[in-house]
Amino acid sequence: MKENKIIFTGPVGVGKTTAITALSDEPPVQTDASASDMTLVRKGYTTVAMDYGVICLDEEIKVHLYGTPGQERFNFMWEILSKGSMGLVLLLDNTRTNPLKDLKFFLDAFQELLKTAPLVVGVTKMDIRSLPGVDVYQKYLTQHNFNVPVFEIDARREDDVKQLVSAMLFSIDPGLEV
Amino acid sequence: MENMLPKVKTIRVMLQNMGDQQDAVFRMAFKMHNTTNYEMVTPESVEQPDMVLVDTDSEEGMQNWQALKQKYTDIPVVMFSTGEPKERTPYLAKPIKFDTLFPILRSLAQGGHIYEVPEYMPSEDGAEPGSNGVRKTTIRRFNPQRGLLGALKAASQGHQDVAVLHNGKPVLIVFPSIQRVLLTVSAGELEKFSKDDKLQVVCKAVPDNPQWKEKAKVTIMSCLWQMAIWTAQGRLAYPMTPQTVFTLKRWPNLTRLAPVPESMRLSAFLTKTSVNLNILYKVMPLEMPDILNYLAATSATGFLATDDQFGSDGQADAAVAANMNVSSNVPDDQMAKDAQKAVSPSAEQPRGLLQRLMRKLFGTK
Repeated sequence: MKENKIIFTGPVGVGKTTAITALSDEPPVQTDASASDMTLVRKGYTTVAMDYGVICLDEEIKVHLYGTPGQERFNFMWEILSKGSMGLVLLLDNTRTNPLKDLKFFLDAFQELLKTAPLVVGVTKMDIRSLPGVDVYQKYLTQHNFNVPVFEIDARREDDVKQLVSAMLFSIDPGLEV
Repeated sequence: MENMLPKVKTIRVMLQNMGDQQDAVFRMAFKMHNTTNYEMVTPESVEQPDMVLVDTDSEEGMQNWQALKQKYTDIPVVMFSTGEPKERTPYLAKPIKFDTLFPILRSLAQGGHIYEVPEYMPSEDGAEPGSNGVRKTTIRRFNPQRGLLGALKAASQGHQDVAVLHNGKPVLIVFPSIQRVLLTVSAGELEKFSKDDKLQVVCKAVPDNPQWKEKAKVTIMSCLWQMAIWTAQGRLAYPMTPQTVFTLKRWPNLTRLAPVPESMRLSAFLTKTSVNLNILYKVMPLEMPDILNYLAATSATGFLATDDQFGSDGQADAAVAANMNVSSNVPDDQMAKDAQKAVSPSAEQPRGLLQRLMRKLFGTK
């Protein structure tokens, strides 16, 4: 049975916390700490446990938004966190050295979830580095049997994040009446 | 390109024979809607309406609708009523449903959402028709290989930098090597040119010019997408027919392309299954102009795959001009069954929750 939760994942500094903030009805719970390792190169503070946000549909029904910690040494949490999720929002940072390697890494890490839940991919910072293009990610995904949405997004733009999530919801059920 | 496009369009609507309550509902809906600017006008207004909505549930309203049809011959004079019309007319059903009102108004403004009086269509088992939910509509086609869209498409597939000229003046300069276009006219002019099926254009190779390339910010993809929508105007791209089977090869980058209503839903559906237009019309309660604009945009940009049986023929002009009928009355074959399955609720995920989440995302936070 699915639980009312959506997982946001991706490398350090890609904008997971920002994306959850854009959607959450309440200020997200963050567990940031000063970075003390290689993460410091990319951002001063980073998420060491997880981000949590919530979309309240009414007083009782809530959709929970979880952001995975970016650092790989917290990978053990991902499987527990993602079990039963409605879908996976994968954010990729186009300015990283090898974002395609990141894509492969996250597809492997969430392979169990992706057997039953839809994937949507948001590529950030394409305004800073335009290559690889969206078509390159799509080609890679198609080769791995994923014909899924890959959108250029700015995690700071609420509308971009909502479009990404709406693509996920329509992927689950294109017949939704909205 | 996004920055050059007008963000908010104004549609002037005249309400006739409405009670105070209906009038207030429309005013409130128009105020809340911010994708298109709906402006109320009256018969005394200086501005002419783009559309007239007439409540025809009273005798007086019906008479007024007849009179207004004679007065406003070049804009939709829409019948707004609880009962289905008895003749072919632009139609908005009562009561207003907020989730479908604006797609319908947009379609009406584009000349769509015409109510067709159902014909007698006996089913195989001899059952009476009428309440079987059959939807029918007539569509027109356009030739995407003609005009500005055709010129851009052709230029984008070559290797040489090409200027597209109209009346001897450049409209676009296409740089296939960097997949960019330099627009030399305003977005408004580009829209006007795109909508002109008979526009005469000339393509001319131009020498390499780094300064022009530097200024070319618009991608060929986004330009083709937008111009296909402007050119289509709710028509089907020739040589497709209502029987052509199509599917989506991959998702377009929808966050960075001009919006097309229902593009997210159609992309999700068409990456899962292959259909023809009749089946799509049956299983998805969408407006035909929205479907056809989406197909035009995805076809022009290479996202849409179609079966090969409909090659272009030597009688293209005559074929394009002919109207075509689309009907949701399709055989219950495997393709129709697969399409129906693709739009059925997920066993694991209740549709109600997903709908509420979607409405929450795009309503007020």
